[in-house]
Amino acid sequence: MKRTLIEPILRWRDRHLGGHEVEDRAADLIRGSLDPDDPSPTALTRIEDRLLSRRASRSRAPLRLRLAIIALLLLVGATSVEAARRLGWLDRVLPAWSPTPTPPPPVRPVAKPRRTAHPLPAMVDLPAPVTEPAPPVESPAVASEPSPRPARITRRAPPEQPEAQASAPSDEIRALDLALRQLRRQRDPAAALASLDLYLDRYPRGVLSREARFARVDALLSLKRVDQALQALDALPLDNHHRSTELQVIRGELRARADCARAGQDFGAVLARPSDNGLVERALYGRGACRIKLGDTAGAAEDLRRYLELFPRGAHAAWARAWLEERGRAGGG
Amino acid sequence: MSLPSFESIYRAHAKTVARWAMRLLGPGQDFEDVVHDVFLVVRRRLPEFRSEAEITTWLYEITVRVASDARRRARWWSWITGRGQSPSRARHQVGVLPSAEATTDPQALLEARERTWVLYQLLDQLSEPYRTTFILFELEGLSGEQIARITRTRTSTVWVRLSRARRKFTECMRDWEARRKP
Repeated sequence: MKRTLIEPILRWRDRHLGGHEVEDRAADLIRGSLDPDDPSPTALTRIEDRLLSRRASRSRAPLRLRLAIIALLLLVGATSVEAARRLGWLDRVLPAWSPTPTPPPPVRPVAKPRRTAHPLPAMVDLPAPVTEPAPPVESPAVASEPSPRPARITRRAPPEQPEAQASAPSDEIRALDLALRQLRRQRDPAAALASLDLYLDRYPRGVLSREARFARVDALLSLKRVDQALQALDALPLDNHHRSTELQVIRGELRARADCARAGQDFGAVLARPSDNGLVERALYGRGACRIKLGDTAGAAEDLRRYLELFPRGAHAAWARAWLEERGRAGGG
Repeated sequence: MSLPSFESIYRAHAKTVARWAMRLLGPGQDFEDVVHDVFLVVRRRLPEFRSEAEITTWLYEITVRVASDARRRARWWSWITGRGQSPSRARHQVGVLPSAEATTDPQALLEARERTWVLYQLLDQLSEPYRTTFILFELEGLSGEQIARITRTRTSTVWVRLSRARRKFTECMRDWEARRKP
């Protein structure tokens, strides 16, 4: 499916007042700064006079002068390099210079992990609107207790070195490749989880450990072990990765079960940057629902109205319309 | 359709181009050279211009490029001389003019000027493409498609640049706040 990017939802200057994140302070700075005003008629007349008299801008040296300066600099540079070569300085400065560099060892390509279609975690347990009826969309039931863990793979005693060795990339790639095939192609999250745990035991600081930890979250979610998935996400830095936004939405949805304030922060962070349509939809809905739970009905109404503007046929559009209508009847505006 | 004359374009758009230049350069920068250079380009390229309906986009594109070149020359000059600006520019130091509301409260005006200076100090730490995208989106309020046309890139590139500009801006803002703490 072709991904389309929609315009960011909020300019910083349109953020709500009174927030404490750095983006809110940046928004205050922007809102409080001055807009340029019209130039004075005198300045415009001065410019027009210069244009009419065809005088060149004072800032630009003649073309011939610039070309002469460039030629002179090149000549000086070439002369210096030649002198350094004759005096043998170059060899001392660049001892590792080799006309035939050794090619790096070939690395086997890794199958690029595809985005998983794992089942969505539990959506926010939607509160009832101001008056009945109850919201039409129900949260999918999710096991609150973690499923019994699969049997751990018995391992031999760890090697004598207490710290993880610098692993050969090809071994790491093979180990991770196995786990990802189990997760994505064979749809066996239990086996994948075991493989990923083994991988992370062997290569806790391996070059692919971050990918492995993200895949571990996918496996836990597939097994409906949402508490452990949330623990894993809380421990992971979610920046500078192509899955950062997606994982932050997931973390928000998991946090929303018990901590709507922190969940709202995750959703807000996602909405403050350019994101995929699908993620924006989830974040807008999630933040709106969280705001309802926190009692911020005005903020929730704004989010849900925006949701309906952007996703009039979205998964939660019917519920959002019903909630807004009920709020309107109850005098919420 | 006949092309508009150069004089009519200047009379109709000089003020707007000047405001864009001030916005892109920042407070205390000489906008007159930039406006002059923009209209030099307009005069030279007017025969190639096709559609009067898109003249503002065309002018904006030229203004962005000329302002960017001016900033690059100013950086080069300050690196060579160790000074902030070339002496020729200092003659036309202009500040950002206050809006009508601000002039009634000098304290508010002072604070607004201070915020504007801080804002542009932070923006100057961004690379030029990110800085330009940030200004056009956050300060000028242009849409992604408009910015893409002005900067001759794809819309997806605009969003990537905006995302990185915002990230860098927030880092710079945190550093600045940390330095300000007593």
